[in-house]
Amino acid sequence: MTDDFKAHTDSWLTEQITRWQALVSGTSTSQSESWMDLINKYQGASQKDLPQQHAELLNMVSSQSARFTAFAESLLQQQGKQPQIDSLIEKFQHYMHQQTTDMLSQQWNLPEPLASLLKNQPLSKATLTEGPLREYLEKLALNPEIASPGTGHNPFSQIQIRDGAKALLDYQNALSDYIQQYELIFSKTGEQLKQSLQQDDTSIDSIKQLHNLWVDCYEQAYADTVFTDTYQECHGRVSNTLMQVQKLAQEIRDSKLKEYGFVTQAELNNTLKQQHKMRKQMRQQQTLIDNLQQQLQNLQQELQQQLQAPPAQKSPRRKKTP
Amino acid sequence: MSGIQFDPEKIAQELREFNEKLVQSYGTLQTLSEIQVGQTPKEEIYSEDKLKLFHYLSEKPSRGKRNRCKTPLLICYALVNRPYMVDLDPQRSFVKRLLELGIDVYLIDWGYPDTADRYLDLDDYINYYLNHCVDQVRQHSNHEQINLLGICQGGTFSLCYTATQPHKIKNLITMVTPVDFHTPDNMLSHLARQIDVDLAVETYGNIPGAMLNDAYNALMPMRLGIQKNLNMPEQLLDQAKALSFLRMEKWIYDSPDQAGEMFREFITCFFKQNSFMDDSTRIGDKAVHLSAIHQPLLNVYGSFDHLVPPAASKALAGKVSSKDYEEYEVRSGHIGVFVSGKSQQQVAPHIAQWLISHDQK
Repeated sequence: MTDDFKAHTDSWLTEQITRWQALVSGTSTSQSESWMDLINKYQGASQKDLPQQHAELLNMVSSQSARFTAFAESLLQQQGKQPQIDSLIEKFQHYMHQQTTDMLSQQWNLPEPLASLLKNQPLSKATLTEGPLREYLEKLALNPEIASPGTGHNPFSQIQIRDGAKALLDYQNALSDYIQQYELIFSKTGEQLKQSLQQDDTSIDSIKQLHNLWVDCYEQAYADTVFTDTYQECHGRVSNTLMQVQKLAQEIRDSKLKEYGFVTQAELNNTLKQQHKMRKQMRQQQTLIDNLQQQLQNLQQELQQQLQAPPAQKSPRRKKTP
Repeated sequence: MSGIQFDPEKIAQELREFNEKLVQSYGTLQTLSEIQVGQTPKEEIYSEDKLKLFHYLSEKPSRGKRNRCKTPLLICYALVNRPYMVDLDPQRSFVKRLLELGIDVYLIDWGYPDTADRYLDLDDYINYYLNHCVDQVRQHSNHEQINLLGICQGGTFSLCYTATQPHKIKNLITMVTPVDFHTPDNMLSHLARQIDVDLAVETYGNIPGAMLNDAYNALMPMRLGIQKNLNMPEQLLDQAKALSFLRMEKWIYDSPDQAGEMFREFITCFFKQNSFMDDSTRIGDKAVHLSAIHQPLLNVYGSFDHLVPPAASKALAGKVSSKDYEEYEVRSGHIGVFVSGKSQQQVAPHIAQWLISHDQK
């Protein structure tokens, strides 16, 4: 760390500590520069790039830290009032819910254009199964011609539009069922957390301890749910319907490529398949040739040995006696 | 009575300590350049398409100082992730330890498949690539038979190979190797069986490595996600600790794509049909009967392995014909078997001793 940056981070930390003390004592305080802003400013000024792996880790840890700090600050703002266990669990569940929903969105990376439309909305069952987007998709699945009313030009065929709308609806339904399972895990986690906190031998006095306990409860609830047929079926459906949407998108792209005279993915695959088949045939023939060569060598050796061997001595002819 | 008592002063202190560590971890990251892995000296002795075969260079031990295993050992790693896991950290390298203990080690690096490899199948990987590597090691070491050590999916490959080419393998070691893919505690298998693998291959061609990473992380999503991230500043406090952590992170996210046809066959044959268990495995035109394995066999598994549960590995016992069959339990997870302190102190020495004791038999 350069001296310059060390001075900056030290002063940032001092500022943060003062802020937290102010929160503890109930004095009003303003929002200070976030850790991420500080890092970005420094990185921008120094022009010194971290290796990609380090930069990615730094991003991850920074965003996690920002959330941790925000939650801790919200507790400090209660100014010494011990929170009721129910409200604390609710608050903590809400805080973890935000983080896990982000993870979920990344994991089930929504296909375009769904992703853009849902960008600013929370990922929930309602977002997926209600609203104008859903209604429009349902209409398209039944009447694809509404996509190009009157003289309007549409680059996709009606079959493509119908199949695409159906695939998106299937995916939305599957994702919505999956989210229900995920909410179930969350609610089981909350119950388990409450039970654990009510046990006499549980003593939690730091946020990290609460995190760890919550993670234990979540993993237990998750494992219990994952081994059910319902979860497995939901997980399979959401994976398969997402792939179906992606496959349709590729087929549409291929049809456009073909229209413009370019090589399509399907044609490329076909060539690769043929090439692979020929490679296998070549290998088999090579093995056959190797075996034949070996046999030939063996025969040559045998023959040479036979030729080099001294002629077998003939037994002397007996003279015929009269 | 609630078991939770938050003292604002203590929370402020916790915040302070957490953020101090955050600042310090950034400082550590700035002092570190690109992470190096797989540093034990080795030479490439063979390559074919994307595959490379390495021979580790070992120092000649002083005469009579230590028993050596004359028969070379070929390590067959899985296609998922990279084989440098066995040589991740110079301080905790499984391979380095084996070399020190007198084992002559060869390693297969399958490489990174690309579009051209989309139609590579299990026949290509096992009956050709693995077979060629075995032949190369036999030739290079001047041994008719060699020892084979398979790791995870590489263990499954090694079983198939030994069953079909038994005359080339002297002793077999399987490590964290799935045999019964349908044990009730196998979460990965439960989830994989619901996937339409034909659709996956049609959609993606080669299966993206990142997708497999997501699948592994989904086995313990919070422990491997939020909790790990939150503990990260702690892991990056000093250089030594940070290097160790970063090497592991590098390995975790260094996931090659999987050749499409191979993936389709592997999921169908093993995860869906569980073919070892009903003796229906076929690789290319070869029927694979585990009962054809008579070699001495050491089966190593981790007690806390969440990817390949112990029962999945232990199922091998009833399937092979080896009279000399030994199970070795390591009290660790899937990766800990190779990178933990136990690996250095117990696992590698046990394997070396087993190989040496079976060398003359």
